[in-house]
Amino acid sequence: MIGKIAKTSMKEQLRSPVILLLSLLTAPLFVLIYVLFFPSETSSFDVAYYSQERNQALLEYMNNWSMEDQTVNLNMHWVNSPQEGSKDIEQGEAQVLVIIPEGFEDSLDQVKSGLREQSERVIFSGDLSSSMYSIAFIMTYSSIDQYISQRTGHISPFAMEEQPLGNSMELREIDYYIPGLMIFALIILLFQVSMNLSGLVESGILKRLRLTRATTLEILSGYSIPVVLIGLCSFFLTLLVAKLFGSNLHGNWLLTALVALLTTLAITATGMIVSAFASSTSSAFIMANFPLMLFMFFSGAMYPIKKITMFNLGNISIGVFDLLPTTHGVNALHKLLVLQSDFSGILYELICLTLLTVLFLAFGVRLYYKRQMEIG
Amino acid sequence: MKEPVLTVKDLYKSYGRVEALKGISYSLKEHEILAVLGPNGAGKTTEINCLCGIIPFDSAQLYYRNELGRLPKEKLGLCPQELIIWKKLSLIEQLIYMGNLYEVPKNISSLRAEELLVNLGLIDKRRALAGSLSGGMKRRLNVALSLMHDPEILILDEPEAGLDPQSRILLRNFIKIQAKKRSVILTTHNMDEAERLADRLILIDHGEIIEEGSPSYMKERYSCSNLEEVFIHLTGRSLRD
Repeated sequence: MIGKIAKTSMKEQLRSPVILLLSLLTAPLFVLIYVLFFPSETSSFDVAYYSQERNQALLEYMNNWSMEDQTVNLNMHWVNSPQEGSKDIEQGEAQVLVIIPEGFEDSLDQVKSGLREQSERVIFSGDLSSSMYSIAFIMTYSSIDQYISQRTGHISPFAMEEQPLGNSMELREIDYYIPGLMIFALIILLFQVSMNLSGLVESGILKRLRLTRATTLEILSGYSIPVVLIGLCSFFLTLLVAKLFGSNLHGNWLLTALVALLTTLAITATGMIVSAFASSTSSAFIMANFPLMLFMFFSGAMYPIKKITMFNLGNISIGVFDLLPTTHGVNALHKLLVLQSDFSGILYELICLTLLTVLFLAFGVRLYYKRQMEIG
Repeated sequence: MKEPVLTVKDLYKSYGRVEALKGISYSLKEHEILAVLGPNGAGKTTEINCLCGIIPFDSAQLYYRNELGRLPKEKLGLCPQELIIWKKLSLIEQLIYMGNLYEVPKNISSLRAEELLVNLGLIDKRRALAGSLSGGMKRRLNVALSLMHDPEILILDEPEAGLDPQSRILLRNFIKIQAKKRSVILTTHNMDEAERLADRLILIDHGEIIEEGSPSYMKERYSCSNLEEVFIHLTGRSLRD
């Protein structure tokens, strides 16, 4: 019976190609938008450079400087006054302004010969509220620090080595966001599930189905299966588009599919809860926005979010947003595809995701039955 | 003497303080067409929905062939007042799907669907999507969907609403033919339809049966020339909406 209902529902979905295509392509489209945000493998920061003495040596050094892995470099340009540099920042032509003081090179000579401990004070200026400034500042600071070390022969007493987790070394900044976007591909199914199930009530189809031998579980399963399949297609399509744009994400695909399936079921259950309260597709659409926003912005799907701990269970801290199944979906995918975790590495996320999915499903089916289908 | 297929005893249903049905009792015989008449809000659709298990009733004794209990789903075929069709499915697809939902074997389902489409004048549209049909065709499809599992009792809730005269004639003939195979309950406001089709009438008002009998008995008893006069005589002229 479930198969028959699912087959017919799928047929109906395929006969609404615009809605189907929008469901499939929204998340992959977001990948393209993110690609536009992070256009190249190398991040380049624009630096406005002011030196009253026209210090060419430092400027050239900074211009040629790059991180060890060649992923970041500085794009320097002269400004004739600090005011001109500030204007460049205001107009987005520079992320940071560096003001090299008078006598800077002489002060380096004095440091080298031991006559003084520090160079003349270099001034950095920029919009401190911008994350771009913070990163540009660190890069600019590093380049000047290395120039000073080279120029004075004073090697920093701080020795360090960077060790990347998983395959994060091979990844670009955009790859960090792809697991979240893959979960987003599932989150937007919320509209489809809730509108489909409310549509059954609105069109009267549910009344006709209730007259037949089909049970509540068979009806809900039959109408959910096509949406789950569409969700999984959109999920892997998002990954495919990311790969086409050069993403190096890889990991255990079987576990990735398992996480996707569990998350889709949780989203489907949420759709059932929404449609239990909605008597029409339009009211379902409006109501679905609330859980959609929660899932999108509080589970880290669209942007990483800080954990707010509620309580500790042994040595595991349980956060507020851990109540959302999508939080565990995003975390599990990040661990699988970025940090190269195996089954044991995502066991906590899998347990939480499974428990929440079962809970949401039980609640969703029960609520839909009570409010839309129960008879005396 | 025809055997009663369905017996309803003391059917009560309230919506909060409003008593929609106040102890309805009647029986439906084999191959009988029973018309349930009444003004708007009299309780006709509520009564049907209670019989079919779509809404819960407060209390009642329902007998299917003298057996007390809930009426078996597969024995009832409801054609609801509203059009309930799958707009994105073709006519043949949704009829077969309906058969599937009642677990009718596929070969029987196909034959029955074709037969219904022929009898209801829809065979030329068998491959068309239901959403593209005219209002009258949709209503006839609505009727066909209620018959795919070959029920013993066909319940038609306002089947002629919105039909043109040609379609009405076709549907009346179709209902008469159906009565040779099964019993029919018909709710309607159309007195002409009731007079032409029904073997027996039940007149409901304010949730109670106020009169019962054949069309000729009713006309004779109240000395009226047609059923509309009987209807107005028994239910009054005031609006009920």
